[in-house]
Amino acid sequence: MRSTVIIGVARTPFAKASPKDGYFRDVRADELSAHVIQSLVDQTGVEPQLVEDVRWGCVQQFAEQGTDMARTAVLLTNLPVDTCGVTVNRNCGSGLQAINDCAMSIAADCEDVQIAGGVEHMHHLPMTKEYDPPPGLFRRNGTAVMHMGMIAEYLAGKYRISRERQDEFALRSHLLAAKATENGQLGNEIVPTWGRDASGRKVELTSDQAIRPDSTIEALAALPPAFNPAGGCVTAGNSSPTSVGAAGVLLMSEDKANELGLKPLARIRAMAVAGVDPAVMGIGPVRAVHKVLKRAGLSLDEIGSIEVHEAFAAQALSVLKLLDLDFERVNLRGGALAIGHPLGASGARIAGTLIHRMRDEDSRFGLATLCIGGGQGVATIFERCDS
Amino acid sequence: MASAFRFEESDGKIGLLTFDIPGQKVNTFSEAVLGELAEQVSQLEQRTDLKGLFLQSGKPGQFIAGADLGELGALVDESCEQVAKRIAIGHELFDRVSRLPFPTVALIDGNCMGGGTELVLAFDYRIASNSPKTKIALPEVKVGLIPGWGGTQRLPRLIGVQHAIDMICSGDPLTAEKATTLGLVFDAVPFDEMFNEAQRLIEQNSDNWEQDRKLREQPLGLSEDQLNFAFLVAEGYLKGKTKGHYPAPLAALKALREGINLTLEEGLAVEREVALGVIGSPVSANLIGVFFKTNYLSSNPGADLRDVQARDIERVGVLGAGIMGAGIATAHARVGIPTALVEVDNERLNAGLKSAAAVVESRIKIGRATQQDLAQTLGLLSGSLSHQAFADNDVVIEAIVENESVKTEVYGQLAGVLRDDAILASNTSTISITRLAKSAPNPERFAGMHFFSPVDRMPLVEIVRGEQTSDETIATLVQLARRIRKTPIVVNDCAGFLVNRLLMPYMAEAILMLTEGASMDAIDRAATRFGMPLGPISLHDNVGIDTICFAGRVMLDAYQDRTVACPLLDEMVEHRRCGKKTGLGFYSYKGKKGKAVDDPDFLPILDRYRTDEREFTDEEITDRLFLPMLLEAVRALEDGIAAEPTHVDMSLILGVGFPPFRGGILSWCDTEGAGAIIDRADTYVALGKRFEATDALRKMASQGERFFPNINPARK
Repeated sequence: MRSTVIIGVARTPFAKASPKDGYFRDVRADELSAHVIQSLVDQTGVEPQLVEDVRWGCVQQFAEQGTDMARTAVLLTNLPVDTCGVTVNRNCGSGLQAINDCAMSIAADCEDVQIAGGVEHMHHLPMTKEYDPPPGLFRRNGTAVMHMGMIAEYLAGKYRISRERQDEFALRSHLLAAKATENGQLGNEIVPTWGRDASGRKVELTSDQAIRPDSTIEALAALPPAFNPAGGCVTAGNSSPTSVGAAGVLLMSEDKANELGLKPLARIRAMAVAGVDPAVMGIGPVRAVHKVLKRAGLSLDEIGSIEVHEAFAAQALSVLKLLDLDFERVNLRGGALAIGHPLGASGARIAGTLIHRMRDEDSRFGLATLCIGGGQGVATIFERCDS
Repeated sequence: MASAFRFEESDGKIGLLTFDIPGQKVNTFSEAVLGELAEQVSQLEQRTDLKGLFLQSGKPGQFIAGADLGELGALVDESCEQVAKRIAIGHELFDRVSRLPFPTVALIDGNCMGGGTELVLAFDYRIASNSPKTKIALPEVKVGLIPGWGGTQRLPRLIGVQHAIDMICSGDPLTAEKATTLGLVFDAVPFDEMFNEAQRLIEQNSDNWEQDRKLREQPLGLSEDQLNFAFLVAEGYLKGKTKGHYPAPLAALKALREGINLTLEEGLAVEREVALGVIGSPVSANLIGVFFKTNYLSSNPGADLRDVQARDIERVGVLGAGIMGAGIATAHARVGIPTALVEVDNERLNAGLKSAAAVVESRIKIGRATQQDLAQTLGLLSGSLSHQAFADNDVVIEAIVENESVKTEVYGQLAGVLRDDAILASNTSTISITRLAKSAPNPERFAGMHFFSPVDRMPLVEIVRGEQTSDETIATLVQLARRIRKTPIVVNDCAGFLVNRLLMPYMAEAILMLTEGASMDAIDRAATRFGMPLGPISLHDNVGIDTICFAGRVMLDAYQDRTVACPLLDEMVEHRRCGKKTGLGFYSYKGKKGKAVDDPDFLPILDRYRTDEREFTDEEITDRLFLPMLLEAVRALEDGIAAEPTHVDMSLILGVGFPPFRGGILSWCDTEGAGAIIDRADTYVALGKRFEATDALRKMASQGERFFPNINPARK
């Protein structure tokens, strides 16, 4: 069975999904995607005609994100018409799922050199737009199971995550992300991307828009509950913001990388998905992590660098609590609470950040995992190629 | 007596049961009718030869209206055992229906409500007619009850937990189409095809109807997280909505929560237990009372007009395009009446026309109107700067500034313009109609037509009869008010008419307590805890301090013996603190989003009028606010301003949002007991005559009488 290695990592800055001052308020999701795809080819120096397929995660697949946007994005690049494109949807896990799908394709001796990632333009296509669930979904579930904020409230109650701990965790995310921006660690993942600054000028942007270096625990504590006005604890400050952005990786079989004389960053060691009650979708990573560790034959102690998706502080803290994880290995460059969460892109962003962290932190193994609306978790274990 | 049920049999061994109570417009479940159904069921239980049973209504467009509310409301006076018995009768009967030895299909055409819906839920299958008249609902919570004949258990097992919560806890009806989507009915088909579809359904399910039946007797099977999460969210939402005043939706939720993960039989036991807590409760009796009072108003608006012919109205005019005038004109245009709106200058006229468009636009936003409605409304609204626009109008409603001499002057001008037979109505909220009538072109064709703000949302119109107003004028205005979808209540002329005469003592008492040391917050909180939508202090700011001041002086003139003067309000007006509209009143509205915040600048003004700094209890504030209102209501009734207690209660509920769960101000007196009310009022009598109970009320108390001897005012 062929193993898969990651050759390159790239993403756009993550912007606020704001019609008023969002960086990408007049840039399209397919254009952002094409920019990342093109950048990966340029950056890695891989011959464009070698890229057989692009697997691209996205949740709201209509309008500018519809009709197989992955293929549309390919047609916007200078990749040849031979390069295919497929759009992947596992809600918030889509970006990581796209990477895993590529690895499966390589293992099955199908397409080899590929680009995987994802995008979401949550300003142009908001999360709830056209949402139309079947009545039968609510036979045993409350309609709020697709209301992520209410689930975060439920998890906070169920796992006794106090408002104070949520705010502290959100502050940690902002301060770590601000530091990683300052010292260029996050910049390593980012390709300069054209957009508009707050004043409306067209500029090339190089850093994430929602990170607040000046955030304080007092400011976070002052925010009102966002989803349950009567006694809730989940606020705009301890939830991930809605965002716009695209992220991707270029990958191929390890054999192919050797043949081309490329220096891979990491190898995919194991992958898993797991389902849970939609009402507790936030803890989906817990079951997925147990599964992926078993498949990799590893224990959690052997994983040096860990990226746990931060949809909500209450949700991430529930995962950490259930996995009995300390903070020392987790999200050391901040998480979605600060950087933002463009749904289809987050999985690829986390994988890219993780791979850079593994190199910088000298970790042999790294774990990326995300919770998924509707009640799932996805997880992937990476291994450094030079270790 | 003829039977409520008719049984026939077709050749194919299909039984057809027709529900059709003789002499009634709708089918309801009284105890007697339930007894008849039980007899039918006893016979059907023996008919193992039948291939199936269909149920239909013999009343076109009316399937089953539900339980007899009169009987249910009367349970407030019954013992717990009686109530339990009443619940058990329905449970046992519907249980037997659900076990008949053949498949059953209910053919639903028209309104299917409450107990009717619970009956069809005990059937194996349901087919609805796709007529717009078909509405299926469990509206029990709207009258303070919960579905108590199996509805809380059978519905979730059929359509799932969330849709059952939504339907039961809101009480809102489903269309046939929506009922199909949710799986409450198999399909919605044309009326004529219902029978054939039902036959096809029985043939299709000849092998599995028994299995389907067994499945619906099982627990719904929610995981712990599914159950906890769904109900946590629903409970949070309902608590916010009911504010502790309406226990029924939360009781229904409890029955659902505790029952759905048990077998149907155990779940039904849970429902009986929970239902016992709400059926026959005072809140439920009051809400049922309001239901009957609302019905009563449709045939008795407060004047006996049975022999009076209302005139046809083709064109209406409105003088004055301010907030009220524009709102009144819009209300007419929206129902298709050509309406002339007249102002003195273009600026005011355009502002009025703009606000008319805004009313329809806001309804378009929430999906209640279309662009076409907007075009039609604006098309029917013609603005003008000349009274000549009224020349061909049947009714002209005057809504200009609240100033008697301005009004009388304008009436003089109108005399030369209006048609001889035209009716002139004034939207004045305070000025005597009898006095204004003297300047009107024709006093017989002059009356008050008092709308409430905002006109597009407030349902009440007080039709005020002056001394000379003719019955024809009253009947015509009543009909017109109904045509624009308002609820008219006819009252006789007096200062404040009915609503403001009762509201003003409450408003003044709030100001008085403020100067005695009660905080604004404590006063408003006591009122909202009582159930008012807004406290009196905030209401002052909303209505406008200058408006209240003006009305207050009218009341002071008319009821000198018992009206409290409020010089504080005069000074506030001098400082341009007129409430929300000027950004400052008791609170400041100048901050973010115009929200009310404390204003330190107000304290020095208040301090000048302080007479005391004492503490108030919640009970004291509540009594001081509502006892003067109640006693004034009693006086207004005795003075013949309102025709009957129903009109008093409904005018406050519809006009100022008096809490329906209390049934109205006079129902509140009935609930508390007139004796207890008088005892409490007596403790405050040193404060003034406004706390003096009338002799008639004392007599009523001593004889143990009530304002509403029967929960249904139609049955005196």
